[in-house]
Amino acid sequence: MKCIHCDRDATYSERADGKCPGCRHAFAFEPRSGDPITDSAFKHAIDLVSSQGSVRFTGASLLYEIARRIKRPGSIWGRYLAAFFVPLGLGIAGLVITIANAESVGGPGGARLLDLWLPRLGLGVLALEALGFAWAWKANHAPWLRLDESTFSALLAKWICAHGEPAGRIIRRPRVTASADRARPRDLESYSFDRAVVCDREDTVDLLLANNFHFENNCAVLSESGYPPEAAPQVRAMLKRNPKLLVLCLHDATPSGCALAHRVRCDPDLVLPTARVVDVGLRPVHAAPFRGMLLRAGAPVSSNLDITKAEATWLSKFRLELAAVRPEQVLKRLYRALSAATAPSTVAQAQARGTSTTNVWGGVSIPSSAGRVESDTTSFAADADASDGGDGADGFG
Amino acid sequence: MGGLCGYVGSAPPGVLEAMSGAIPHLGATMDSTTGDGFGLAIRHPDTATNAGLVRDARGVTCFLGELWPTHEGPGARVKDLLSRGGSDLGAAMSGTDGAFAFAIWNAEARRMMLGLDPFGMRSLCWTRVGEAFYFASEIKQLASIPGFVATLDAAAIHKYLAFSFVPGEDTPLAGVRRLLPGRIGIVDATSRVPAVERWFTLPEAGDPKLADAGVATRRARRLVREAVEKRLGAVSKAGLFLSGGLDSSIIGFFLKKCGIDTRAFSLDLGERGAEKAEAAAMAKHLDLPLEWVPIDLRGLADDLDELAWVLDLPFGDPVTGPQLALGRAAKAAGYGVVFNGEGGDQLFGGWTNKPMVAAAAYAGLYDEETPEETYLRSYHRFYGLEAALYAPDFAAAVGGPGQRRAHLRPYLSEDAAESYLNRLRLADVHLKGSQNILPRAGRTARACGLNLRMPLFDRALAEMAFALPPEMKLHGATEKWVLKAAMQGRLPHDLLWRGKVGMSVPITEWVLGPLADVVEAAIGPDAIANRGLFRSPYVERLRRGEDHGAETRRRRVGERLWTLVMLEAWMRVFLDGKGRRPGTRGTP
Repeated sequence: MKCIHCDRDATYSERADGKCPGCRHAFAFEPRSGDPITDSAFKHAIDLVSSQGSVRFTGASLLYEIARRIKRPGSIWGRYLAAFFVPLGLGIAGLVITIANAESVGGPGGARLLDLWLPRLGLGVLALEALGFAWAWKANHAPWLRLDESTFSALLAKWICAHGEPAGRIIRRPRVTASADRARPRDLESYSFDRAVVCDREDTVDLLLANNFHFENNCAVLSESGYPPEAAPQVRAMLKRNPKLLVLCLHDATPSGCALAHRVRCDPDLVLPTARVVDVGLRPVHAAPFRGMLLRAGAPVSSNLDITKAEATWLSKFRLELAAVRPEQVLKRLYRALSAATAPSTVAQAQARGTSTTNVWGGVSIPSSAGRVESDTTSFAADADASDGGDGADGFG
Repeated sequence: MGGLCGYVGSAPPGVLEAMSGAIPHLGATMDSTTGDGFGLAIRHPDTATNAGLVRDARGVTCFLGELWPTHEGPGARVKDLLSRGGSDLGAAMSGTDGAFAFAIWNAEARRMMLGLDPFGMRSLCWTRVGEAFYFASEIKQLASIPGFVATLDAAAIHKYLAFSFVPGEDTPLAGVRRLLPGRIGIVDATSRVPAVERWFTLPEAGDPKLADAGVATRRARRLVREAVEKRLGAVSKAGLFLSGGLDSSIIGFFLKKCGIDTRAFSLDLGERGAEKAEAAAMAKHLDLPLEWVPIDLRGLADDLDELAWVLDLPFGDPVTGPQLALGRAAKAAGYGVVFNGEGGDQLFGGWTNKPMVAAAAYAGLYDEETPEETYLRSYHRFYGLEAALYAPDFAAAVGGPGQRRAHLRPYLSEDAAESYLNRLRLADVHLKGSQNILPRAGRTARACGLNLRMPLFDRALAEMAFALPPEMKLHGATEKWVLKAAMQGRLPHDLLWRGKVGMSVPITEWVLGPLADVVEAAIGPDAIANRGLFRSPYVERLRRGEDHGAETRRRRVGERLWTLVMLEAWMRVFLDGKGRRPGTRGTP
């Protein structure tokens, strides 16, 4: 096992005391003692989740990254080999027994026995092979997240004990400290934001704020429930000062998440009726690349205004958290969604659907989607790269 | 147009000729005078009426530029104002506005007084070589002084890499400093540095009358009109750099209102350019003939060092090349005076406020970050990326922490202004405006033989802006509300109230495409190794069109690369070429 500090590859006997024989740094994990991951794999996960230290991440994001690196118990090829050889062995055994029986009967009776059972035996073996391969495939491609929170917490605690806090993990300052520091400018509430991202999870709010998405995009970020509490009341007041506000709703693929945009649309305490609301969050349609990252659903879900019948079927079995998407991609896909929503063609479509009202401050024409929720399922469907998002659709910064 | 220079102390013969000779593009007429312990020289175009040396019994006045209210013999007027100043220079100069630089030799006191206009339309820099204190309009003039050794000031480059320009009194040449706008500096033969006094400040002084939106919009409209009128002088025809945005459109409106024969010049940046349709619509509405100016990228590549030489200081904003193209087009069309709309964002709260407002709303939740640090990030250059960019030796040479924040603290600290928005305005006016937008726009225009007028950088208008309730500048999410309301019914409604559209220069497409060879020559692995300032891997990553993980905007790649390219071009001219004009040999 390699040491992450000096890169020395130590044998089990060399690291018997839990320390690297080269640099004497402690190892956090010992796979031979049952840990599902090595130090270097954990470090690699931190490098990936932080995009080599340039993106801050939540504990939940790290959990999913670790889950990608943990091996499923048992051998993938072992299951396929078992699925092939066990039915084959049974078939051979059946063949031997059938032949033995035919010989003991002898004559035409024996021949009839062979004619009767050999095809059945062949078909039976093929059927067992098919069932076996289906079992092996399913076992190897289980949809469920293979790391629970308590196991992850124990792994993280071991890591912190050996190597310290992972650089870039978002840690909210204590609420008292954060509040005490916040001598907010008095005139701040006179101003507003161009956009807002409303999230269903506090973790998502933390991810966006700690990576300065709000600063880069003049964008309020808050949860539906009013997180972060030190800022949300003021931010909500500021949102009311922009009748042309664009609201993006970012959520998990859960029954509640999929209905977030409609709840926001209908919440007069959160946005003015003239605001545009676009649902950009995860839905069942986004789930395909996340096999092995899904959670079990709580209760059967019925279709409704926010959820189609096909989505209800999926949501009755599964849930998918936004934390399964790497933080860099959350930022880039959300920026892609923002650019798409502010592209002139999209704005023109929204205006065509909406009405115009007049602002007392100078007769501003305000496009309104008049109670509708727009939906963008494209932006979060695939990775965004450097050429995504465009430059022209957004004028800030 | 023009430039001045001089010295206090004992200087070698011919030094004034060398310094004036370093700015051949700023006019053909030269005058100089020397006396016991001083020398003064000026260079300006034949047509300049407000430039020259005035000798009298008390000394010599060297004045360059315009003074408003207009005055016969503006140099004498300034001298008169200053002589009456006594201990309260600010009071003596109250109401004085203009675009000027001066140097006044007091023969009796044997000292030189240097001064600059309120916003930095003109510039002055200084250094000490041998037994004399030298000053000049441009640093290329100082570089021509015999015995001057051009060495890089790492701390100044460190600041440039965060701001995209060198802020404050620093210049990238060690030992060369600048006089900041709205200040005078007094030197004598023994001075190591000038004794600097500030005569212009922008205090936050709320005017209760302006709380009435009608009063505020009417006053804003009147002051903008007056700002245009006072800059017209005897001009009957003028060019207008029209972006299609609000500010240049307002200037176009008032030029037309004043009966000026105005021709608009707009950049044609092809499909990637923003605001083209808006510029066309606005020109049509104002009934202005509009000339589209294409960008010749090969020409820009060939002229890169010339551009760096013209700019005198490194400016990393990619707009400078297009500005030079606009200026050349206006000159070719026969215009000597051009107007632009720069200043509206800085005075009245343009889009740059919005990220800072967003940051303030969430400040302190995850990290302790001062407003100064947030403001530095808003430049989107290399602040916070030093570990990735700086080579170890350069990182060690840039000095201790806090140097960049120190430039912002006078404006962003809570005692600078009560309103957060006005603190941001102060920083924008005094740094981004006076030390970036104005000098780079002025120098590119002057290099084309143009007299550039920027009416929105007007003292009365600026003072009114700081007397306005802040919400009349940024009203909700509407930027520059008072200007928009002032022009309601005068400019097309949709163009007036639309949101900010993207920046117009598609620099990332340029530097990764047609200008890739220029970028490689300037900051490819060999060039980076040759200078030894930066780490090649991060620069190479940028050259592949990639940035750090949290960066969502592709435009940042181009902006960061261009910032490095312009620095290298500047170093070629001012370090390797000792400030000589590219393509010339020997002494300038």
